[in-house]
Amino acid sequence: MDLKTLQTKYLDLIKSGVKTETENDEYFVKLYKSKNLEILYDIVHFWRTQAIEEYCPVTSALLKKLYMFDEKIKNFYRTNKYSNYIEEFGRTFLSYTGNDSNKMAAFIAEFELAMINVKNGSEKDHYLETNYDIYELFNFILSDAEFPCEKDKGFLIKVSVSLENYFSVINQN
Amino acid sequence: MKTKLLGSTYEFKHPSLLEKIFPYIEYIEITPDTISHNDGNNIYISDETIDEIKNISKYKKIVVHGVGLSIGSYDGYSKDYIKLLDRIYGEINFEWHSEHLGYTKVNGENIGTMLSLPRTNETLDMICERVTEIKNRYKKDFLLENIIRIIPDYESKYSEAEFMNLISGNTGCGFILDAYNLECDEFNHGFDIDGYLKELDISKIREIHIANGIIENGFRMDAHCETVMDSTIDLTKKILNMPGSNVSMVNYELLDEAIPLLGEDIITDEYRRLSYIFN
Repeated sequence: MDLKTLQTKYLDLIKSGVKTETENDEYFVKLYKSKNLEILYDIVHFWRTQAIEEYCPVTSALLKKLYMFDEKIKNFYRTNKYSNYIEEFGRTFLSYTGNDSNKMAAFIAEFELAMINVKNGSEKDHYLETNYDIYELFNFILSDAEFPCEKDKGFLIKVSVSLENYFSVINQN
Repeated sequence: MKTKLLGSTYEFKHPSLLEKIFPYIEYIEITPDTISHNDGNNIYISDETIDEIKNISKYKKIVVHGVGLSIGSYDGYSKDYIKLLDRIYGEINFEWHSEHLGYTKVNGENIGTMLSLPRTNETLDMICERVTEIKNRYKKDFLLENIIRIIPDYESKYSEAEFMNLISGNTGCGFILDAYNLECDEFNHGFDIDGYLKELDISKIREIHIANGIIENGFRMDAHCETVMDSTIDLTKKILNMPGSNVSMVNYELLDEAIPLLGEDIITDEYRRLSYIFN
């Protein structure tokens, strides 16, 4: 097997868990069943979760509370390119989670991404809408507070370098 | 006077620890990938970091050790890494630079770990061509390091040592020998360390890496999160005392993430211990 074929097979195996059903290469047949492959998956997953937790601790903490963290990361890497740079794939992960069908996770990811942008010098004001009380969400993430429910009213959150603590709830409907 | 060998990896995040271990080390090893930033458009090393390296270089020898070159990727090595190394080469007077004999990228995508290469003629030709390019670009010695094998190797024509010797013979590059990685391979795959050392051109080893990790699910990981095992120190001493040995540096590798877990006092004590052995 040439190097291109071998490395591409490894990439498919790591990224998507693709195992060729009709594999007749004895090496890969053995590898598919080996403990080493599981260890490889564990190592890759460990480093990916470490990096994501470091870059976006708030979203990571919420996803863990919602029992979504591990699966979210696995799905993210199946469909996105992993980069050497945390600044690059951390941002992409937050944008990806910002589109999640779980509105709570999506809002927190959007909020954290806006905060990161502002802290990194963005002068743009970000406006985010949610039906969650952001302080209830923080309490839920940081403590054992009750699971926050969606409110009938909406909240408009501004994230801006001009604000104390970089954000404010500016409107409630 | 006895040669001082001990070095430390430094990522510029723990200055108080650096201050504590400073008396015990002769070398600082910097990794371009871990001291760089990505602002979305550019990958760069900040002026502040360059100034800090320059300042350290007044007191300690600097060596450069990459993790992101991915010299073994079939589709080419990392141009981003070369850009970072260009910056360091232009600004810092380092002793030598090095990379792992493996790859972290395939089809332009990071695989999330580092894998070893099949030791075939195709790989040999590719690696030799790239090492020669790198040696021509930077007028500094270049070393390649043995990596841990997580999964078994694909069919290979050459033994590990034979492959390293051929690369060195064809290109003039030297070696980093990671003593702990050898122990991991021995533990995980029954690797024959003595046979490897007997076959390897020992005179090409310029640097030795020592570290310690964890055993999980019966697998020894090179997690770089512990103080060094006595067996690793014994193996390192053995290599230093082998005929033809020409080692200039022994680097204790510790991940930044491990520093708060071990604590600065324990780490300082470890450098003190290692300095008695290797300096």
